[in-house]
Amino acid sequence: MTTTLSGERSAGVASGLLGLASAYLLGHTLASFSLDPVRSYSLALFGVLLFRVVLDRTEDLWWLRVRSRHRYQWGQELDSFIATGGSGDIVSLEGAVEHLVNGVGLEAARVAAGVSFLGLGVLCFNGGWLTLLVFLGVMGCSVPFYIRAGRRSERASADFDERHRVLGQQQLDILRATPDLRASGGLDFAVTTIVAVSESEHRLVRQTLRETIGSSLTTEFLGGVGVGLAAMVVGFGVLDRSRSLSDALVTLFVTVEIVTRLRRYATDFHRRSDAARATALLAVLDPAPANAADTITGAFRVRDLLTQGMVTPLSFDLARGQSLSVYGASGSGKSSLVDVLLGLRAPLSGSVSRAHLATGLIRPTASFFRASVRENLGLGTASDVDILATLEALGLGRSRYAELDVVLSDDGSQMSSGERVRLALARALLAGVEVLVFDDVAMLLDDESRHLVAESVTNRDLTLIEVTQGARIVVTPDFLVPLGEI
Amino acid sequence: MPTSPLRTWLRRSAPTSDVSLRALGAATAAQIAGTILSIGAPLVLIVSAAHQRDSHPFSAVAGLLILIELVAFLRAPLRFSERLSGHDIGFAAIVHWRSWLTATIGRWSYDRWSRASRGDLLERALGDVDSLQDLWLRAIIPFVATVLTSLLSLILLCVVAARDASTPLVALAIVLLETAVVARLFLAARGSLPLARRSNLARVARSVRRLEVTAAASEFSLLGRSDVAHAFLQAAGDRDEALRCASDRRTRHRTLLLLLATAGILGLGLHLATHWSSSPGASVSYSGVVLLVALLAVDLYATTAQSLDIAVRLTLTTERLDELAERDEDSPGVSAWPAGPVTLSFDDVVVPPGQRIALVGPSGSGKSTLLRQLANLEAARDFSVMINDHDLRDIAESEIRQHVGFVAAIPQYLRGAAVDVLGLGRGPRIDVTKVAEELGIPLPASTRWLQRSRGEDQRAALLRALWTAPEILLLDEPTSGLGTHETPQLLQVLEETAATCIIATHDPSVVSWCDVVYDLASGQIISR
Repeated sequence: MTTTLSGERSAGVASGLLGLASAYLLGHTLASFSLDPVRSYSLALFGVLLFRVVLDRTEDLWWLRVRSRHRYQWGQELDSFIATGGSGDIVSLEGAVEHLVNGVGLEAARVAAGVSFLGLGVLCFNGGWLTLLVFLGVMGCSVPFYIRAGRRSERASADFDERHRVLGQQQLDILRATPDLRASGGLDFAVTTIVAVSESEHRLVRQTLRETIGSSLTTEFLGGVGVGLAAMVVGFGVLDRSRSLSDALVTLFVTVEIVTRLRRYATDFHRRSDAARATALLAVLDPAPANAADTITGAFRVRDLLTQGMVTPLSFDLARGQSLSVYGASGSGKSSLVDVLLGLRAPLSGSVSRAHLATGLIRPTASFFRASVRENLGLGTASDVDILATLEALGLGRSRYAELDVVLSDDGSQMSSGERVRLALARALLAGVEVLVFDDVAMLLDDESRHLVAESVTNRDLTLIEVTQGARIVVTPDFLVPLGEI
Repeated sequence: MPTSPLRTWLRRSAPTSDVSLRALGAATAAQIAGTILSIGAPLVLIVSAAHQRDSHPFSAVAGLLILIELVAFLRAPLRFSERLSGHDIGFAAIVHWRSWLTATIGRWSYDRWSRASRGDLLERALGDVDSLQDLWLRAIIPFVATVLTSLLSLILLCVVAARDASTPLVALAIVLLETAVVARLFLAARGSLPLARRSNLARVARSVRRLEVTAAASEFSLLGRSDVAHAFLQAAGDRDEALRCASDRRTRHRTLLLLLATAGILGLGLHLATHWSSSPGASVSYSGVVLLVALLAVDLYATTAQSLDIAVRLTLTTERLDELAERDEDSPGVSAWPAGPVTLSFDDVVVPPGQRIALVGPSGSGKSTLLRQLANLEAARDFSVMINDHDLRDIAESEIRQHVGFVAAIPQYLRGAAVDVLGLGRGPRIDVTKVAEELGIPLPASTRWLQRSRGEDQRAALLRALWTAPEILLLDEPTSGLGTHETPQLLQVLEETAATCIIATHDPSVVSWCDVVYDLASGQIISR
């Protein structure tokens, strides 16, 4: 981020200086042209005017590009964050990226506004001390207004957002209750409610807006008056021949330039806080410091582990190729135990060390992508023959999933839970896992398929962990551990 | 660029004429004031330089300088008025279109609503409806104000240069050039619509895929195959990114076009200024006005481009809203509810007035669906629901709601005063206080509706359904959250209404209270 900030600052300096220079040149060329309208002056004036337009447009395009690049980079970071198992409110993270991207260029605008104050020197040199004094006086008066307007608009926009959110929520409540409202004959009432609520909100917001616009317009007003007064002072100077036309025009355009730069920053000022909030929100995307690699010889080493719902601490060592079965009633903390063992959740107390082996987690809620069976199970590496053989071994050889081009629905709504479990297992086996963890899935399988599943996992050299309420896939585990109040 | 949906919505969302005229007037006046300030000031300086030597116009020039000062004073209040009227327009649009959305979704069948409410379609619809305010506020009004200002500047040109015979021709040439550029921008915006549509779809698809992968990522990470999840995201991301790049490219091309057009109009302006200034009898004001016209044209191009960007975005919005507004039913009923006691019949089942019928069957056998069909919330496909000998679908919606009470399995409530939440603006035709007490949910008039327990929610839903003393009551598991002594209370209240009751239930005490049991699994009616 720091390199971007310094880049933005240099861009701001360049844009501020170029703006001042073009204002200066515009004053001179316009004066020469109007005193002696010959073609060469007209060409010069054309050049300067075009240069100003090109400068504006180039800046726009440049920022468009920078924003695109930022959006792209943040999009990539968000994607890798998600792909590596990061969780969070993805929708609000996406919103934060947008806010951050929109905040790009604010620093440049700030710096450019600062740089434009160099124009005060030009003002003094070309416009005389009186112009400078008048302008500084007006600007000095407006500084407190600028600050107040900035604060107010920041506060008002937060306030507005909040009200808008509440109103939107109320509206959504109504939309979500629509069938009930309709059944009770209350739709007309709902519409009346919306109108009444919106209108009372409108009155409040209008009040806030009146204040905000009022104070931000005070600054615009003072800017206008500053330009007008400067024009008047140099104008009278020109009339009584104490000042040349080119000095007068230069003074005028430089004044306009300073005011424009200031106003440009002031109107975007409130986006600063949005961008700051977004930065804080996106801090989660920074990769967490990697844990020191566990150097254990076995597969799992668990010491005095307590998780949600467990009553007695659990300790065990599981070597590679061994199997463990944990049984307990519902609510005894089985699923949390699985999460903690696999590092998806922190334990309440105790420690878990795990060799980093490819692990297949088989639970009833296994997720698939909206893609073909081939992509979902083969993961781009397994051959069709292997996929079909694995499906056959799990008793899915004659199911519709043996058609490898069939597209799975992402929410699995058309899949029975038994099929889902077996597909997840097929995916894990094809990925060549060394550890398999079954989270209470045995009861979802009928006897025949449970037998097939047991056969295909026990005749490989796999480390197996199963938590269950009763029925087991791993029929003869090396260790059998009870959970719960025993 | 306005394609038909946008044009339709433009008409539909037209604000009341006095507000829009006020906003438009203020916007135009502020635009003119701004122009006078930015172009008039240097012009007056030039004029003062030209008249340094004659003493007569001194006062005139000094007057002009003071006029500029006045304009500087005036501009801010004008902008203020413009923005405030703009917000009035915006809020009127929000109120109007939110009401519209509620009424539109209210006409949907239950099926369509439940599909929509599972995803974030309702949220998006709300966002779309809210963004309609930009149509006038940020597209039409600025555009019209700029066009008006440009026209005024052209009229000024004709007036100032009236002595020159070629002035009307020059003005015509400028108008033609400006029209050509604006038309080109319109065409470009129209051409960008398909891209904008695809880009929008790609963006939504990427978000959806991100949600999908979030659910599966931990499993893939454990498998040691995060690369697969990443590749899956990448595919959607690349598509989104490619389309974004394409639209950025369009923006760049358009900027280039604008620069060329700007160079053209500036060149033309300066050429004319040089030409006129060197002709006999010309004054500096000619060139000044020409310059003014040229600079306003530059402004016109930029504003048109911005307004068109908004129009493109809103075209997509209105297309989505048109989809929402599609009717899924044929013409709504208009008949009145038959007078006197009614017999309800559907699919071989005849329910005489006052009969109580229990719907039983395992979950998933269609009890709730049947109740919704009987309430005309969902279309019955295989049979028609008859009230005496009128088809329910022919009866007006408001009549049905008055005569048919419905209690959903999981009732939904709004927020606000309890009386409003339950009464929903209907005049009670029962003694509300008495029934509320009998049901065990005392309701002082001033209480706010608060989150209640499931049992209280259900009893309140019954009170809400009884409000208009309906002849037919349809109840979906009304006792599932109730304790052993609350169920008899509820049945007692039902007993007193003497309405026809059709109750989907698993509760044996309710089943035994009913006269007839209809088993949906077997289609058998068991009389008791």
